Amino acid sequence: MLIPSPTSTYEAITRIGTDKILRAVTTTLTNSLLGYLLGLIGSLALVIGAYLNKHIEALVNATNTFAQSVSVLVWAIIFIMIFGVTSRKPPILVVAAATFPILLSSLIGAVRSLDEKFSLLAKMLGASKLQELFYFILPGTVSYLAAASRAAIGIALRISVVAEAFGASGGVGYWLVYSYDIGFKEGVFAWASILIILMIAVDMLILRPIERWTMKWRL
Amino acid sequence: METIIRVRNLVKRYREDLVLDHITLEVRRGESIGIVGPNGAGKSTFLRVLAGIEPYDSGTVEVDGSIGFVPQETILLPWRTLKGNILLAAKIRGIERYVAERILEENAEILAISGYLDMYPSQVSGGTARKAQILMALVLDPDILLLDEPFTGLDMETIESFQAQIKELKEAHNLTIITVSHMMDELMEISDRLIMFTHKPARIKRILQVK
Repeated sequence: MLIPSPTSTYEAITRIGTDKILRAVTTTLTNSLLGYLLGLIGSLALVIGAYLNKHIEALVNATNTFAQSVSVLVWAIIFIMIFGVTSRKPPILVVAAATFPILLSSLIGAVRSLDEKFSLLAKMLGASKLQELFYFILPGTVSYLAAASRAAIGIALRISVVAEAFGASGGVGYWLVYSYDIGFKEGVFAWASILIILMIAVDMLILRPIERWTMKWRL
Repeated sequence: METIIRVRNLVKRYREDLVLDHITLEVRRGESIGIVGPNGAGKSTFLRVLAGIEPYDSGTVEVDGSIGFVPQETILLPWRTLKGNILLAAKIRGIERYVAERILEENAEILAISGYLDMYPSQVSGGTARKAQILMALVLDPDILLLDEPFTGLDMETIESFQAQIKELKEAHNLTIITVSHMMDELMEISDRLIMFTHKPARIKRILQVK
């Protein structure tokens, strides 16, 4: 049979063993999280720069267009060419490249709408540009960022697996492709199931509650 | 009584659109002025010019004191409590926290919102949020309070108690108050003088001594 039954997939999961699964999941989660954090730091730095200096705004918009137009597959190949197959950097950097445009677009929209809303308040209070940024704009972006992060981390997990498939990082993606290469089809389905469970768990237990919690702050 | 605001031949345009047409007005310290006129006449623009938020094209505006401006639309930070919003205003202006807290307590009592200060803007009514916005202006310890359409959207009973509270605030701090509204009866109760604006471009049509 081409598609293994749920029973044989479950048996494959038990055969793989908890230790190996935990190690692979930890690797994938670490790659995703580090890549997401890199994307977040990059997008935040650009948006803050654009807010404080209008000349940087055009550069940020151009960067956003560029980042959105490059396929993650291209990034994966480029980073593996640069750092090598065994390096842990390619999956992290691919995730950063994939999440960066999502977070950047959301932050650009959020800052624009918050600036419009709070510029009168800033004038009324005589707030400096820096005070406006730290007291009004940045805290205001949290709810927008939570919603964008939910999408970005979902993508990060999926992309991380693709990037791992090209290298030898030992994440879920690596083992999924390895199972395919050795013809262990139950293993392919087992690792795919592990990935799905991981994504649902992260979304339901972490991302969705954070998004709901910050939603009350949304304008 | 000494003059606290002196406006002479004030002209304001939005591009080619004339909004304020040679407005001349003097306001005395401790006076309560009501500005009434049709919607879109330029009353809010006049208030913003006085507050120094909007630039103007010609004429002179002299203000001998500090201004607290309360906009028509409530602008509070949704992630801070009412108290957090008010104290942030004081912090931005460099007012010591204990001074701000004292002013806040006194005035919250007058405006009857002491019980709501630890709530978030989304948890209180529009009227309470508007009073918090007034407190945000008062915590800056202004000489002049500018209120833009403070009674919009409030029911009659709330308007009456709000009017009494505004009068009490004025007495307590010897405030000069300028209130803008398109409803004359809302202003009669709290004003010493009523200034009537024409349709846009706004000119002073009539000045009515109420008290």
